[in-house]
Amino acid sequence: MANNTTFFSNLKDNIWTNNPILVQVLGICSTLAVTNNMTNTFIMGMALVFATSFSSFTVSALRNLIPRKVRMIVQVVIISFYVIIVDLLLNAYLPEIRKTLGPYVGLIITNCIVMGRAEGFAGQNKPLISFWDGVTSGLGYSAVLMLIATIRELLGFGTLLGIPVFQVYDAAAGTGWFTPWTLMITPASAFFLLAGLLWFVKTMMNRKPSLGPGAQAQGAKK
Amino acid sequence: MKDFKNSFVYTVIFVFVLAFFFVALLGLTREATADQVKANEEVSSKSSILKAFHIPFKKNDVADIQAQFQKYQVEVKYFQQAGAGYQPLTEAQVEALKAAKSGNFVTVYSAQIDGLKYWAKTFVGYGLWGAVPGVMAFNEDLTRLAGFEPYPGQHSETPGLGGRIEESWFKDQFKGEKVVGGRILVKKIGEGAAPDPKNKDDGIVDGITGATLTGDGMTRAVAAEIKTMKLILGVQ
Repeated sequence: MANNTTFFSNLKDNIWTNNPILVQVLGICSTLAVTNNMTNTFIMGMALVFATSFSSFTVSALRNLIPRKVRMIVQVVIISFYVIIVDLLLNAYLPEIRKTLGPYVGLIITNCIVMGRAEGFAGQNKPLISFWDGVTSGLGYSAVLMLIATIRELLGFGTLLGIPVFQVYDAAAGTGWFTPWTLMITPASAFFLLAGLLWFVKTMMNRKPSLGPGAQAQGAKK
Repeated sequence: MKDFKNSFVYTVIFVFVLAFFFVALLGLTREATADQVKANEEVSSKSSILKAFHIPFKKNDVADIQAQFQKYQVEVKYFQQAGAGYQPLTEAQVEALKAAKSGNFVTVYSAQIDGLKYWAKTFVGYGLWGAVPGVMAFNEDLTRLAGFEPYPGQHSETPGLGGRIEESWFKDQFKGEKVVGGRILVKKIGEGAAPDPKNKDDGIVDGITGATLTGDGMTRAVAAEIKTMKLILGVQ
């Protein structure tokens, strides 16, 4: 599997057939917590792309030097390093966003996707493809988060990227028509939306086998 | 070679070198961004003070913020608790306290707006889920509030519920509102008709639906700050 990976097949794999959230069901915590705001979600996604790609690259570059018994500890050190760098840079150059994201930036260290790719891919593959794998995993994660965030922000605030789209009803002024769904602002809504999305995607994959992970097995048999 | 890679000695040396290298890089990055972080904090706190005074300014524009501070003669005064009251401190005394990292002092700001003097002070209130820090502004004799500005994003109140204390409709109610019985009451929803927003003399402001406890916390915060300001300024 690992040795035959091309850049394009890796991209397709991580964005769709083996999407970290929709298929592997990893990285759920931050999916539920930060997705009520598209701007914050985008920053979170980019932070994860950075952390996963660079830590996969580093783990891969050092893969022949890391003692087997402490490989996961070493991976955590490397992942923590890149995540804290992101946190420090956000604190210096995007402080308001960093305050809103709060602890969730630091929690990227515990995000299963990052560790999963380091352990499952970077440890057995060359640095360049590992870096790419980190980028594509992060993009697959970000795509799902942005989709959920679009729905939550639109229905919860009536805005997209902070720009008003639905006119929010103002009783005192007598303008607008849209009553925001407060539920969409709370993490509970993310549970429902993510579950619905998982259901939809899995149904599509099962109905059209060419779209799902089964396609690879079928392809191999031929 | 493979055996040596899995040996105890190699493992210890490898992990030590790795950790040392990465921690050193982190330390360097922190040092490199320290000045920017400090500048951000100063802009943030000065912005909140201007917002509490309802002085307009250009967001994140350091030069404009400084210009507004000068235009409205925003000054800083320091006080320290002494017995039942407070005594003023000089800049030198405050620097000494900061250097020694001992002793608490209170920072109070004053401004001249349209010929009238106003005060502002940072506060820490308590909402439903945790601390709510911010800045409150008062008129000269502490009979009315001039502004209420919780720091954005620095509280733990639920967004859409208690978090609505950050919204302008809520904050603006406090501007010019009279202090009645030593407090301004954030009215619970459902207890009678909503207070008239145009009536600034009843000492009552409209609460947030679904955030009664946060509103109660803000009522307590305002009452506590009025009391403290009276002690600091020696006003009855």
